[in-house]
Amino acid sequence: MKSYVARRLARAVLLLFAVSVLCFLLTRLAPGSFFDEIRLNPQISPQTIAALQARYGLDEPLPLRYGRWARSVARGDFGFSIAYNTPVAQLMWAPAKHTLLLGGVAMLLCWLISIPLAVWSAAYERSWFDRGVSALTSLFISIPEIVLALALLAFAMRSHALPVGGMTSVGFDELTAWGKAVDIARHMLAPVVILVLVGTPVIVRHLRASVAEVLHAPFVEAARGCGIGGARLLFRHVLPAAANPAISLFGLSLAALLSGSLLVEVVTGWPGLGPLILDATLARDLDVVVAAAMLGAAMMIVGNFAADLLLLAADPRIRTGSPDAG
Amino acid sequence: MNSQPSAPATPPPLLRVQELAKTYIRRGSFTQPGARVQAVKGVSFSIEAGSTLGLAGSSGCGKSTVARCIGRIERPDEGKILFDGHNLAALSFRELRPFRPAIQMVFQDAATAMNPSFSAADIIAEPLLIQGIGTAEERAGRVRQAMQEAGLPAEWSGRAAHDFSGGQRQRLTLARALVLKPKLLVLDEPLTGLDVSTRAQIANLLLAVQAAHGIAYLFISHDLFLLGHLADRIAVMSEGQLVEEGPTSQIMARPQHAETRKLLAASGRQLAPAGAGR
Amino acid sequence: MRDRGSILVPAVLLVLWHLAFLLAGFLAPYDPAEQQRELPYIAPSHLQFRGPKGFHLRPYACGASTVVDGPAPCYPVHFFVHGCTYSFAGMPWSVHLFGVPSPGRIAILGTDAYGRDVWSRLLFGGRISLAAGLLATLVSLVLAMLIGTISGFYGKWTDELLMGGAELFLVVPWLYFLLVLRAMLPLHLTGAATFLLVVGVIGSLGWARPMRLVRGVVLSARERNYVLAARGFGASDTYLLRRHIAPMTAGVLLTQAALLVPQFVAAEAALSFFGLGVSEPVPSWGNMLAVLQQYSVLVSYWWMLAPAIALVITSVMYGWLAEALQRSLKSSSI
Repeated sequence: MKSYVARRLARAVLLLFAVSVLCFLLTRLAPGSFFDEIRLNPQISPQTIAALQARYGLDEPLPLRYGRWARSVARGDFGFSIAYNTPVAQLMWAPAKHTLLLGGVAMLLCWLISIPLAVWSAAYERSWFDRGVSALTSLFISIPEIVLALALLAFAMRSHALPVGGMTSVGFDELTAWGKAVDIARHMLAPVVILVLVGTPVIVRHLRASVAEVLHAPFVEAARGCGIGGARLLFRHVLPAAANPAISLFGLSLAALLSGSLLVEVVTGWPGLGPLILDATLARDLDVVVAAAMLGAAMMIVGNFAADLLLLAADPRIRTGSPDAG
Repeated sequence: MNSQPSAPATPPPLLRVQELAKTYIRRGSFTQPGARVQAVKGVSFSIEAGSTLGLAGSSGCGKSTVARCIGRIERPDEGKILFDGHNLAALSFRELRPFRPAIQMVFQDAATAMNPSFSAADIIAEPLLIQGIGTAEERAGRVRQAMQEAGLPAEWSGRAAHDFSGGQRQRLTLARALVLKPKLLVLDEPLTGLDVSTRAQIANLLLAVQAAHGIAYLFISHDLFLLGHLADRIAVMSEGQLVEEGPTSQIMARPQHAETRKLLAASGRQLAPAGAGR
Repeated sequence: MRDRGSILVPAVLLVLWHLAFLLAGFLAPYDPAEQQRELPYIAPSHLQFRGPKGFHLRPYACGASTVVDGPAPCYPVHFFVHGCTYSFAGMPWSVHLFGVPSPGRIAILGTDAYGRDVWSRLLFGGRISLAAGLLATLVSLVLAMLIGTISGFYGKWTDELLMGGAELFLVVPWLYFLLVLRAMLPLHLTGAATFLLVVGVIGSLGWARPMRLVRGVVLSARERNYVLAARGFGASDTYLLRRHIAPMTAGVLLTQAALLVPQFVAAEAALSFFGLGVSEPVPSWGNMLAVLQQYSVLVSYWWMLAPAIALVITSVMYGWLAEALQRSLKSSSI
């Protein structure tokens, strides 16, 4: 059991390292740089640009630059933003917190909605409820995130039901603590609804399939034979047995959610990592792009690691160290 | 060329297997090394041209591994496989190519031994195609001939493999094995999974083919009773090792090893009720 | 096969759908880049069967005209008319399915900020977006096929390494990665170069999932008895891959294609929406949607959402096909 945790942890760290090298390499192989735009300015001499490049270490060989960057990550700076002339970390913490808040709330809601939907539609296979749920999941899985985001946004703006843009209203600072929380929650509603609409159908579909599979298993028939039935059977016996694939799904849904949230944040103006990375990409502020992508990957890897730990808690085969539970 | 002192007068046998050993490594993971499983250890026997050696043993004793090593689907770790004076165990897959036609295999489950998307003609012609033998027309002729020998009507050549019944499928794999005109046929449980009357038909077919072409058989089965009918000599394996070997009559009448007696009892018991039940 | 019919229906619909975009020049009355600055954000023309002399069988398009003053008059719609030239199959053509006589304009999906015909742009943009999706899928699947086959067939440390690489691509949120990849490449490029760039960037990200499936198929195929039997006849690796193993991956690849194409079309839309993909004046569904980032446009001009609807239709049809393929794959493997 200890070795399982250690193995998963080692893998998570290895993955994170690989992601960092990959991101770093990709951006450093870039033919363009931040100074391309400056170079067009006739008032700045080539000497100045060369001096600037030397100052930011852009003329050094790659491994050296990676080492410098890694040290800066270790210091907690995450590189240096040339556009804002400050360490990246200072730019990133607030947006990262906002993305985590948005993603966390959306994730929670997704699962809270998905579990009962999936379990009930699997329990009443081929009922009108099941058919309705599967028709809706098929439909929503087919709708691209960007379309869903735009449609909901158009609806929100026309009906004036939800505030859109940013995460606070104009007079935010004068509100009480409770008022502030309500204000943020109201601003969060539109992006959260979009993310829930994107995330829930995928989870429902997979979870329903695994619950349905368990429902046909002999031990469930046996439990029925013993007189255990209804909600107790579903939530005490069936759901735990179906938890294994569901937890693996958790990691994947995290990936979808993070990618989705990037788009949704940009569309709804939520000040998260999405707008930051997009602006940085357009400005070729490479350290910021890499750091934001790393942070996204890190959130996912940490989420997957958490899923692995959950798996450990849920699956007795892993706890006892049986070899066939890979 | 082979200066073994034990058999100076008689001509060398068609196949001589010496001290064959094979170890599998069960796949581990990145951090856990795989476990070693010794499948076959120190197995030696020989087969005379045109004769049948029955290799008996309960499931998991390593007899299929011996078959795969002789058919050179697997490479043995140790030991020699002397065939016509050449040590096949030492050759690479590339060097083996010219020897392939002489040794052919028939697998237990005929259904999985044929690509389900191929037609009967494609299946039988495949060895010829791989070996690059003949023109398309000559191959078609040899396919017809092989089908005839295996007791299949030639007009079935266009049918897909899954349209054939169990017994017909085994005839199909037999036809495929015969098309290269082998000297040795390795039959790995060819009758298992067939019903009783079909088993008898295929067994008779095998005997007829052997009589017609003088092909040597290595016949692998867990059914000693069956081997008693088909084999000239019988070898018994247990836990990866050869425990007893001798002429069929001797093995059947006076089994020495406990494993042999067990197998004999099992096949006798199996014969009575299973014939009716299955 | 029992469910050939259920595959056929979405497949035929998809072929028709793609054909419509291939024939964009014929179905679109105007050049997608042609501007009418005096006609920004004109609402879609409405059709009526009432001409100047009462009821008419010929439809009349009302709502848009380059004559500025007075109420918008109606113009008769003519079929197979001559208009702007477009190239198709390497030849210049000027026949269009429909059009209205000149000072009138027919805008069945309205116009955008520059007075360009949204319907025409939708058709030409769809051509770009669908082509990007299809080509990126091809790139991904070729990568998946190659890497998956090598990984599954040769196993051992090659397998470990390639599977690790695949996991890397699965673990990174793809849109972030898309931006990292995009950040490394020049921002402003010519039309064709941007298009190829988008295809390459999207295609090189999506291979991991199909690769794992291909590897699984190859792994099980390698141990099939008939593959072993062919080895016993002296078959080479290339023969085994070509004759026995590659054909087995066809079903998986086809299903994955049906799943990937709509995802990749949407990915192109997202990239272009952000201004990182296909750039103006060449239309694509993504850059047509980009104006909706201005909330005023999103609220006031609903017809600007037309590309979003086209995206949904594409995704729904591909999703339908993918489901049918998956069902038939499952039933044939049992």
